[in-house]
Amino acid sequence: MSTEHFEIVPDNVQANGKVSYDKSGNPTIRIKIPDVERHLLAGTVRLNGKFQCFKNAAEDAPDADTAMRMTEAIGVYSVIDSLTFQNFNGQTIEKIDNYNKFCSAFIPVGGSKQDLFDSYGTTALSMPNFEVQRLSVVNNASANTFSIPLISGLMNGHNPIPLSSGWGIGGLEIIINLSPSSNVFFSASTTSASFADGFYELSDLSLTGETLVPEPAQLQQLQTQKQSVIEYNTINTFYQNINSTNAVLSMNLGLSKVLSIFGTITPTNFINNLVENGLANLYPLNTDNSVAKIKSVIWQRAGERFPFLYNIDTMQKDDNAQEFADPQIVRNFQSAVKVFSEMGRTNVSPENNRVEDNTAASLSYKLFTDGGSTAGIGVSYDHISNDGVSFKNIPLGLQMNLGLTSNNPHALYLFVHNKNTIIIENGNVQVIS
Amino acid sequence: MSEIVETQEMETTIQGDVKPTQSNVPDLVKIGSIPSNLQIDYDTTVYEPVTKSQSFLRFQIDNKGILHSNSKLTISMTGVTESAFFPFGVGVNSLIERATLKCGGKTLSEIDDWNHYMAYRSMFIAAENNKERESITTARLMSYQLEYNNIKSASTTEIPNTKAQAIAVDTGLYPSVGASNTETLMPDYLLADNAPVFQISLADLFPFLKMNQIPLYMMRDPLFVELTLVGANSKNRLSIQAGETTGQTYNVDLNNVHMIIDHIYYPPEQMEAFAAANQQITLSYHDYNLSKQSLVPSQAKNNIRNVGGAGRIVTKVIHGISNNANDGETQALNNFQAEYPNTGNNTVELNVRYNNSFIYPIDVKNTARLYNLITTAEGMTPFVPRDSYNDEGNSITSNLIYGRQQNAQFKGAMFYQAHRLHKGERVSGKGIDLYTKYDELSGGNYTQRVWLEYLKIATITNGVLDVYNG
Repeated sequence: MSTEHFEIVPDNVQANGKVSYDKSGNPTIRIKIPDVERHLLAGTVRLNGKFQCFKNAAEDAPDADTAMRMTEAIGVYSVIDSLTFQNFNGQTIEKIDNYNKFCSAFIPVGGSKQDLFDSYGTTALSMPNFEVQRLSVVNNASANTFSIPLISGLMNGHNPIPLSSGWGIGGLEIIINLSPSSNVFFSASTTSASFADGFYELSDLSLTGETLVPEPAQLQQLQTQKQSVIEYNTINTFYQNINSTNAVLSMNLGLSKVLSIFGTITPTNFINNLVENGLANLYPLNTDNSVAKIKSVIWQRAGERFPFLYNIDTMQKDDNAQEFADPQIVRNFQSAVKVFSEMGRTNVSPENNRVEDNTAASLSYKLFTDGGSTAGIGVSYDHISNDGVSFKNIPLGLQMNLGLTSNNPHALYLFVHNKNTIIIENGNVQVIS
Repeated sequence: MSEIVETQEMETTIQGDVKPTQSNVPDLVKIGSIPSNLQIDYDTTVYEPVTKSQSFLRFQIDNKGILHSNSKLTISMTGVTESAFFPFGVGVNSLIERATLKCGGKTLSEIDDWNHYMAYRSMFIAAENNKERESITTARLMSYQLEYNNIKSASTTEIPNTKAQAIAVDTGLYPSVGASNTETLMPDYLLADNAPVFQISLADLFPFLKMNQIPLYMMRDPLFVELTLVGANSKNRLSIQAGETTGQTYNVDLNNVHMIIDHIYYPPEQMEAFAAANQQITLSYHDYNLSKQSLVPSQAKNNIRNVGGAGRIVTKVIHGISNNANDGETQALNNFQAEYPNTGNNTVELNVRYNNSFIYPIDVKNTARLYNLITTAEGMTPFVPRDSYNDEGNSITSNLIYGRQQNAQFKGAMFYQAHRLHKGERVSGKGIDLYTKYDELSGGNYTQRVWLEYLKIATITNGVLDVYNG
């Protein structure tokens, strides 16, 4: 069996080939992988292009005095707000909202500090320190080339995706909604005056990858099969707010094979704010920037504690002065992103997972080294059945006791890792989650 | 007298079918196929070279047991008086120009410009492993760390902060801040004037050994490892600190070169059974064929050339362009580099054509994608920062590494490319054409090296080795 490379340009870019949320007024990129008698090798798919930052509408490059920064650990992934995979009939196969938030949790957990120099650095423009990322990417007067895998359940899967409308999903359309510059960039200081009209621009975009060409006999077999079933992973995004000392959340996920859930927290006033980082993953903060320490976390299913039959009480419950992140919280968060026992490389460390006030007297979250703050919560169900746990008609419950005593609402982005099934029968496609 | 009847043991499957029992003789030469409950014995033999000079080493390996693929060559330098060290990227591998494995007059494996090939191969060692393991074992040292700013408070006391303006090579020693410059030094054990002994794995010399072990006890002729060394005056053996005298002769300590071979033994009846059951053993493996061409920058701007491979099953094309400057020793990586165009438009375009079609529908220009294509070809990512690969971002510090500016040493110096040939078919008689456009390299003479990974088959029939292309 042989493979063929493909290179596809987006359907909807303007004549100059440039795409920008703020400048071109065209915040969507649509790319269609055609309906052909082949399989798509998802692991080979890359979004390629050039990324450039400007500090003003006159398209001047940021300089040493421009306080323009972006999230150093995820680099160019910052610009993707949502990622959707659908077939040519419009049936959604996977949709990840707040994609850049998802990447800001996923990449530091699954990649090491050296990976941020090397593989993520070269392909996604990340760096493990905010200043060197600012100088080498944001302030780079030339466009930065990037070539990124579209991290997602579908694309990270190992099964080839049948593209044919006769015996497969019927083409694959990838829709990328870009993030506003105000949620990509933030200030290195306390003011955004030096880049108030700053924006980013993508150019020379293309999607590349490989397709698997079936042998004639195999193709005939595929064309005559009546039904086929594909299992794949998905990431589903849920958004909630926290603004009390006892956050009690209940959600109907509507998913039947949930493998894990992980979440990250950001003060809502940081989102789309040029002074603060809307993609930062922090422990909750009070309005005076003191950290609102998490005292306990309880995960529930159908109103009962599950999978932990106990409260996860943190070190801060007994010792409020404790500034180290609670190991149970950190471990469960990491394990929800990638099974802990299989985690060969990670960038989560005591240097960047800190329960720290966001003040000059302490260490502001913007000054965390090794890729910035990596706080998060999570729970893995994969250990239990290897096939996920059903939350189809059963609510997920989450309770957190924390020291959020002031009126400072926080966004909780929950990412649910679920196993989906596609049933293809006589050219009809049914997605079961 | 009763007649001896040969019987065959039978078994019943769960479907109720009766069939002969599968052979319980494991394949001893296939790594991973041997059950772990066997009693294994090792015999470590230290071989001295049977022929030795500053340009050539030959070792003869005894026909006993099974050759352990991770056996080691140990080697060191002698009489070095300058502050010199093995090149950062390739380490002690810089010494070997060609590695050949022979038996009975047949060449099992041979890689030309093996030291340059290892410069490419060394990119796949995780930076953490380079720093913590390879710097001790092979003198390879490519690992980066953040170079934090030291800021001065009102009282002029230097206080650290978390801002890092650049990245710097991590030798294990943090840069020392001097009055006029900041310099990263190297640990003493890496300096050749201290005559450290380093090792090279047999499986690195002959990559097919990573997947196969040679049953020496079943072979009639002895095995020879032949190593052609880089010339002692070539300026390519070691790199030197700034200010040291160039053009010195650097000698290998020929009294301290050893091939330390582990011979593996299984219980005798097991080995005899294996030999009896395998009168003919077939090993299929990959070898690497070099094609190289001298180039000047104007030629490199649009270079189409046939790199061979005709009639062979080629699975991978690996290539890079290195500077021939005769001052290799003044570079931290020596000449074991693959240059990114450092002038003109600073652009690259390339494609590969074989069997009447190009691999890529459009010539590849995006250098980050080229990095990804290496990942696809090798199944793992190269551990090389962006600035060092495609000369973007200026993130490598201008501070010194052993007397030389780091950015001048490492920027755009590891721009290797690799392509997996995807058609799963034999290359036609026309061979493989490589299209490269480097716009453009700075002045000088360059060499483009292309290695083709191709299929080879070796058979051992009644102890006699035969080798042919797959």
